[in-house]
Formats: sequence, C-alpha cells, structure tokens
Amino acid sequence: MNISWLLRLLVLLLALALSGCGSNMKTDELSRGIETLQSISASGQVLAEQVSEGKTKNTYVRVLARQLGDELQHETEKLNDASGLDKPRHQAIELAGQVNKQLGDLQSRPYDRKQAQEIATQLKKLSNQASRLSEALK
Amino acid sequence: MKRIFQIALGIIAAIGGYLDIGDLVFNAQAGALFGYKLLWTIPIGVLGIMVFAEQSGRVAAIAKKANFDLIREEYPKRLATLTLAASLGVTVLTLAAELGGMGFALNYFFDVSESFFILVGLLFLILVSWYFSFDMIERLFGYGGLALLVFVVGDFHMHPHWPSIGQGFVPHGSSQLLYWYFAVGLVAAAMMPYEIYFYSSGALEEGWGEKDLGVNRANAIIGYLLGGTLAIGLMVAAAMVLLPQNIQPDNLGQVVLAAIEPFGGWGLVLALLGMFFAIGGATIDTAFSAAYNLSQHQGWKWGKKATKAQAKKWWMVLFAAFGIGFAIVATGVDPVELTEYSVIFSVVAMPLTFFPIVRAASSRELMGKYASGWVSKSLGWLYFGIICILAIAAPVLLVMTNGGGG
Repeated sequence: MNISWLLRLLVLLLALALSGCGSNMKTDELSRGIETLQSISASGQVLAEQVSEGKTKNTYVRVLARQLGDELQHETEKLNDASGLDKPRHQAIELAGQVNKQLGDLQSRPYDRKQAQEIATQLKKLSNQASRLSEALK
Repeated sequence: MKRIFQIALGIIAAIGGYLDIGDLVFNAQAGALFGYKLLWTIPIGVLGIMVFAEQSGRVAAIAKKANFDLIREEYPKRLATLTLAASLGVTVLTLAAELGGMGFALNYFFDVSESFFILVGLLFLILVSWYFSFDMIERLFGYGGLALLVFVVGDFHMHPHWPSIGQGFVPHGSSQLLYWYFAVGLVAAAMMPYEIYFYSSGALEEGWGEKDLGVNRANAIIGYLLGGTLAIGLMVAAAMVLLPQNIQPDNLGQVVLAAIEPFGGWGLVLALLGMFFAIGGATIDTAFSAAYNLSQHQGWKWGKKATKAQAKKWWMVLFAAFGIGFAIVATGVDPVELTEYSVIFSVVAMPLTFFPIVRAASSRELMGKYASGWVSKSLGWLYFGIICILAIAAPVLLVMTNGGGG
C-alpha cells in the first residue's frame, strides 16, 4: 500500500466520522438519550435522599454529583448536535438543564440535609418527566 | 490460620478476575437491567474458571510449566507469537482500565482529582511490587477485596424475594439481544485469560509440588466460589436498589449507592475499600501477567522468586506494562468502557489460551498419574467448546447491540 492509498483511506475514514455529526436523530437514539437522562436524574435523586438521611460522606457526594453532571453535559451536547425530532429533543434538552442545576446544587452543598431533601423531590419529578417523554416516543 | 493464608492465590485471582472495574459495573448493570434473570450465568462462569484454574495449577505443580511455557512448547512459532501479541494487547488494555478504576475509587474518598489518584495508585503498586513478597501481595489485595462482602450482607439486610432469586439461577432464554450480550459478557468475564496466566505463574512462584495438589484444589474451588458469591451479591443489590429507580450505572459511584442503602456511611467506606483492593488486585494480576507471558515466551528468568538481578528483564517488562497502562488511561479514556471492550476482545483470545492447558492436564506422558480423570477431562473439553462459541458470539453481539447500548 503506497502513501496515496493511505491518504485516500484516511480521507474516507474522516468523511465517515464527520457524516455522523449533525445527522438526523432517529427515534431510538433519542429514546436512549432520554433514558440516560432519566437514569442520571434517578441516581441524583437516590444520592440526595441518602444525603438527607445523613447516610453518606461529603467527598463522595461531591464527586458523584460532578460525574453525573459531566455525563449529563455529554448527553446534552449529543442532543444539541443532532437535528430532527425537534419537539421531544428540545424538551429533553430543557429537562437536562433542570437536572444539571439540581446536581450542581447538591455538589456545592453536600452537607445540607434540608436542601438535599428538596433536591430529591425535584429530581424525582424530573426523572418521572423523562420516563414519560421516553414512553411517548415508543 | 495457615490454611486460610494458603488460599490467598485463588482469592486474589478470583477477586481480581471477577470484580475488576468492568465487572463491578457490568454485574451491577445486569442486575439493574434484568433483575435476577441473569444470575444463572455466574455459576456457569464459576465452574468453568474453577476447571481451568485447577488444571493449570496442577500442570504447574507437577510439570513445573506455566501457561506460556505450554504455549511456547505446543504451538508453532507464529501461532505462539500471535497468542502472545493478543494476550499482551488485551492484558495491557485491561491494566490501563484498572489503573483508572483505582484512581476513581480513591477520589471518592478525597475529592482531589481522578488523574492525581491514578498516579498515586500507580506509585503504590510499583512500591508494593518492588518491596512486598508474592505472598504479601496476594494477601493484601485478596483479603482487602473481601470488603466487597458488604454487598452480600446488604442483600440479606434488605430482605430480597428469595424465590425470585432462586428462579434467576435457572437458565432461560430471551428474545432481547441485549440480554444475550450480557449473558455472554458475564460468562466470559469469569474466564478472563489473565486470571489463568497469573494463577499458573503464581503456583510456580509459590513453589507448588505434588504435596500442594490439595491446596491447588482448595484455591480453585474456594477462591472462585468467593468471587462468584461477590458477583451474585452485587447483581442482587443492583436489582434491589437500582432497578426500581431505572438507574443504569455507568460508573463506580452509582454502584456504591447499592451499599449505602442498607448500611449508610459504613457501607460506603467498605464498598469503596473493597473496590480499591479488588481493582488493585486486578491491576497486579494484569501487570504481572504481561511480564510473565513475555518472559515465559522468550524463555527469560522471571518472577519474584528469582533475584532482581536474575529476573532483570521480567522487572523491565513489568514496569513497562505499568507505564503503558498509565499512558493509555492518562489520555482520558473512560476506564469502564475500556474494560468492557477488553472483556469482549479477551474472549477471542480465550481458545488459544485454554487449549494447551486442557491438553497438557490430560496428558499421561506429561502428568503421569496426576493426569486429568474423566470428570476433569470432560469438563475441560466441554468448557473449551463453550469458549469457542463465546469467541464467535461475543464480537457479533457487541456490534449488534451498539456495544451493549441497546
């Protein structure tokens, strides 16, 4: 294989990789994204409940809340980059923003048991909304 | 007490093999997605790895040959080199993921940064490898990993529905491809080749001979039963805590939620400590395996029993493996994803790894009166058949399920 063939192969691979960006989102892809959002929200809810019951440690809460926030950020970027299915996709992005805010509050005050209780209630609502949105797509 | 310490090799091999970072998350994901329905896969994997471990330990004790000694002697040169390349590739990938896992586990305690604790974990392992004897290493990580029993005790504490758990041990089918992806992954994860590389070389490090065949059997049976019990405990805990909330764990922290639920702060500390030692054990298993494999393939002096000057090349390979693993994980790749892929790719290397063991263990010429009896021989070839099927099914299912994403 000479250099020009290698270059053509690289260009082809690059084109294939780029063709995935900004592509039309399929229903099952969006559904998977919303299920991830629901799972993150539910994880945050369980974590917040454990904080409100004084069951856990601050460092762990901070790190896990941050990790969940990062995963959510990644999922939101994917939803933003895609096109098609505009209404449910924008609803999912909106929900992700609200979940992210709650996780941020939990991360910044992991010792506040009263606030954690409110966060748990909010995240439960958001998790249910995500479930309903995902169900509606099926 | 002496007898308890004698089974440390089986425990570190089993815990390092069964409950590395990928398995911790993979088992929890299986429980969170399918409840108790995939419990049947664990005894199948446990019996398989017991058979291969017992046979490889017996060959090491009687014929004084580790896994890659057999591969070098039995295979044509090219096939032996291919097996070596495949095993080194997968083992170092797994090592990278485990180093990442250690960093994540430590960071939950201190919240500095994962990268910092990956470096701390690496330095800790290098110091332990250099200064600790083989016995001390296997005891530290093997028995430290037993803190994961917190998940098993937690299951009892949460009063599960026992009849449903019992039903989970009865194999049954499903029309969902994802179910089969997890079934194949769970059986395969129990029989990761590096467990056997480590186990057979460890038997030679410990100087096993004819008189230690009972110890070998105890290691294979008790060690892997413990590993399997921990895996079951984790899957049940995930089914009880994560499934009702529709949580799909993607990281260690989400898995720990299942230990906090029954025991609060103590559950958290024990789960994280157990994870740190289990993942640390897996890191040692993989790093040592890489060094054992290359040294045995090349016919170099190897292991901690030899002096450092005698086994200079073995030490160089060990540190190179640590260094490459660190470089891979330092790129920021997700350790959980990395190890889940490495499990699937390991499956492809499994038949090449296990074939010479089953053959050597059955050979009257090599093993004399200690050659496998009909039960061991039948089980050995049956499981060899199973791993050949897994080797074909695993990559196909990986592609068809979008890497387990559904």
